[in-house]
Amino acid sequence: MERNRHPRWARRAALATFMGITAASATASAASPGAEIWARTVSFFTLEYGFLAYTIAGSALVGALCGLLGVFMVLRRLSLMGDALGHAALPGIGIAFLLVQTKALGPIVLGATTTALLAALAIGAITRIGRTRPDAALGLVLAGFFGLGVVILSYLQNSASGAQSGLQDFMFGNAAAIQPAEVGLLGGLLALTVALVVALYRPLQLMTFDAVLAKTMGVPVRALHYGMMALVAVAIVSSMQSVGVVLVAAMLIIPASAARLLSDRFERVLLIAPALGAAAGVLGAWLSFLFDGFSSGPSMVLVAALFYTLALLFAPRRGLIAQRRQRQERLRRRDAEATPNAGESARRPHSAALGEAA
Amino acid sequence: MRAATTTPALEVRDMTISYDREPVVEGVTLTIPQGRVVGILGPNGAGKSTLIKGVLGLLETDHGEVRVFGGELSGSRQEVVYVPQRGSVDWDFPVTVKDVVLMGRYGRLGLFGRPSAEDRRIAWEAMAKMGIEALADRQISEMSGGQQQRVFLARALAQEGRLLFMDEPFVGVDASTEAAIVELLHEMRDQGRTVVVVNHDLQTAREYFDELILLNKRLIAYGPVKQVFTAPLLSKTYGGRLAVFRDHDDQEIIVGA
Repeated sequence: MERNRHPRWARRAALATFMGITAASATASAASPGAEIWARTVSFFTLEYGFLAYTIAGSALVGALCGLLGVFMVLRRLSLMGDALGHAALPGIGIAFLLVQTKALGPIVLGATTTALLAALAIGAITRIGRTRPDAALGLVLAGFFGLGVVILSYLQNSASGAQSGLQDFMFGNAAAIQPAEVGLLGGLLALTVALVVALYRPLQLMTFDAVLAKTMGVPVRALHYGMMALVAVAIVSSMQSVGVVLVAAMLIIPASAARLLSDRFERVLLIAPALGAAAGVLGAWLSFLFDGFSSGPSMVLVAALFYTLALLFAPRRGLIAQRRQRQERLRRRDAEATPNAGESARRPHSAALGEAA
Repeated sequence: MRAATTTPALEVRDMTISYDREPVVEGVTLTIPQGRVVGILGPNGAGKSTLIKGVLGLLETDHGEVRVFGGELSGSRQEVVYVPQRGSVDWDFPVTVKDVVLMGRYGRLGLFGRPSAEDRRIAWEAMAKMGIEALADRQISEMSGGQQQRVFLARALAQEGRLLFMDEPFVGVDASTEAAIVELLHEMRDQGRTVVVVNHDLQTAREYFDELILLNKRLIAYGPVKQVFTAPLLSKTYGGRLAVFRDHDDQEIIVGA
């Protein structure tokens, strides 16, 4: 029955691709762990179980959405704001569940968004009133809200209804439990975000690079900022099921940071980050499907971190290897210029004298 | 309708700005006519940058009124151009020189507009004027200090405003860039534009500016360089942190801190 829930064309295409591989894996010994992993991989990508279509679609959408919004957060140095919003979503989930007693999407998203936005306001208020520095205010609010969330969730887990509701999934994510309604919500959010980024591309770029100049030009910087924060809060909340509140900020920060290493052009960074995010999402979901007990959130974040590491090493211009090569190139060119030049060697005795003095 | 040239470019009335209830700028009143290059001089912490940020509406003021070309600032947003200190932006941001200069046109595009061919032409002209055409497609992180300032000034030129505020444009730039900036200032004045420049180098003040604002929290003096650049007024502005020497031609040499 489950098998019929995903589109037939998707199954056909996937099946065709993996036909030969499946046959090969069937001949391998079922007892070997390699064969087991292979068999699970095949069933994951051929959507053998109906829920996998939603798992894959949802994880890709989460990665793409967070990746895209993350570019603005990272470039505006607001990365940790995402972390605070994510952690602050937890008490909202608990309170919503306390009130309605089911894991219904609507109340949970509403509750989580409410506490996340409250946290954002609290950070601003504490900074202004309490003379506490922004970084301390952020840490304080993040920890305070998260502590409250953990307390409420612990209470719920000890009560009968909470134990079965899978609320703990919201901590570290469980992509296998993504519901069709959540895929719809994520898809809608991604479409909205892409539309806004395309329509408001110029003012957003200007505001991200030079908010002060944008203000003097009459760009409504404050409205754009709060609009974006609200969008980030909703995106974080919608991503909780697959990534969890603890690590959701990583999906904002890591793909965007990797994309920044891979390109020096704003528009390309805006394309690469969601692509990396989507890939990390799907591969993370795959990892957590392969190994029982792997939460999907940490798995996705690990894949994203791997992407970042690869970018750090191999990025065409900003990667460590490329920079090392550029440095050597410069040194070689300088040596080549210096050797036949008498003026250059005339300067050497000076540095030698300095060396002796030291 | 363009304001008549007799309308002052900028009027500031009784402006006070505080950080944590401590006034940084106190009771400043000024009227700057059109077609002047005005330097703001004063020691560190005198409120020079704060004053122009207050005038531009970037900071909350305790009180004070600002009129630009005889009207509200909000009515002349596109006439007023701000060139912030170079260090105020992330020069590692993923954009090219051309992109940054084109941003000078964004104020006129509205929220959803796209730059037209005309906007691009104006941006190119501004780059040519600042001698950075050849760098147009380079990433901004590759720019030297002087080149960064040229990028900022090209962006300001592309804004085509009539009242410009520049915060420390001469800091950390090479000699040829400094000369190019001075030439630009004088050219703008000759076109009837007004440029207000925060500066802290006393040595060059006399040749670069038509008029000077001497500021140390309060307005010490405002007027033509000849009337204002005097030892008594400067020492009043800089307090003890100023030394006046006379060289063998009996010219005053003033060193401020």
